[in-house]
Formats: sequence, structure tokens, C-alpha cells
Amino acid sequence: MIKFAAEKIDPAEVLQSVGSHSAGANVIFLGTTRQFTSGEETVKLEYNGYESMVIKELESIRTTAMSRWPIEKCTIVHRHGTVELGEASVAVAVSTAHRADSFAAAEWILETLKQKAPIWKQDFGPGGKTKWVKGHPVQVKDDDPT
Amino acid sequence: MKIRLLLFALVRDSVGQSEVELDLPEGSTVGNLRHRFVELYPQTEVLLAGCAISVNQKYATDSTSLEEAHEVAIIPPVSGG
Repeated sequence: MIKFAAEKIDPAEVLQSVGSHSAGANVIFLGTTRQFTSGEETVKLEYNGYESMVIKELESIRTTAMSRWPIEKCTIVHRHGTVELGEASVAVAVSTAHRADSFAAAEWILETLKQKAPIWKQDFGPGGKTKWVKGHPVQVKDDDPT
Repeated sequence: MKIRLLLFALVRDSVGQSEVELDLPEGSTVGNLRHRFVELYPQTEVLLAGCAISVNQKYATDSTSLEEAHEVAIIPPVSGG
């Protein structure tokens, strides 16, 4: 499953989506809104994205991951819109026969998503103060599969 | 040729629009588009240096050729996750 949607992420549904009788390891990562970053308070985050390209990038990241690790199933879900404290903005789930592959693949998928998916977040502080969160400049190389 | 250019995040805020149309000579590249964009919106010059460009929802290099039907976007540093 690949999804970029406003609805809340249901971890049980994400985990279920990678279920497979061939898998002995199921890893799920949830990224949640944190209240304090370097002493500065966050009240909520708001995500925007280039929707059609987000889907293409996430599909491309999943395809590359499946060529690098023996993955049974893989789900990547990201939210757009407002994400309140403690809520998940992103979920990555991977199932593999053995745990080392699912841990490694899930971490690589998340790190690559953070470097490449055209998504931007605004941080809302107390009193409605907002700022764009400093992002990662996308490094573009010729013939880059992702 | 006319190129539809989508803007996001800091670039959108700086220009005050979510998309603009650029008139470029036939055979122009992404590099030419960058140059023209900064001419029209000089306030984005520093910002643009840290941005990627996508063509039809795929990251492109400055040498990528453009055609009128292409959907082009400026991709500021990303902060998903």
C-alpha cells in the first residue's frame, strides 16, 4: 500500500497490509509529532506535498527497496494537512522472512523518503507562530532510480 | 513555448502564487528555466539555488530539455517524515 492522505494513520491496518505467511519478521515505523525540538515548542505540524509526484516517488522508493532486500510486502503511508501532537505523520511497514532485512529496509525507506519525497512541513508554535521546517535539498543525479 | 510551473512551500510564499506560466524559447532546458525564473522573481535567487526541478513528476537535471506540455515544478528542500 502506498498512500498520501489526510486521514489518521491506523497502525493496525498498516501492519495488517504487510501480512504474509512467508514472513517471519514484520517491522513498522511510525513518525509522530514531537512537542519539543531543541527547546522550541511545537503545537502541531502541517504537511503539504506535490501529491502526484509524492505517489510516484514513494512507489519508486518501494520498487528500489524490493530490489535490494527480499521483501514480501511493503507499505508506505504519509499524511498531509494537520498532524497533532502524538499523531503519526508517516508509517513504513515491511515484512521479510528474517528480521535483519526488514529492519534495514524499513530504515532505508524512511531515510530515502525524508531525502526525496516532495513534502514540506510547517511547524506551529504557541500563539500561532509558524515556520517552514528546514528541509533537505534534493540531490539529483542522472539515471537515479529513485 | 509556454511552460506551466508549479510552486511549493517557501518558493510559493516568496512569489505569492502557487503556479506561474513562463514563456521560453523552443528547445529550452531546465537550466534556461532557472535563469528565466530568477530574472522574473529575483527575490528567489538564493532560495532557488537550493531547489530541485521536476519535469512530469520526476527529478530533472539542468540539461533536461523542456516541451510545452511538460508539467514542471520547483522543489524546495523537502521535510517529509
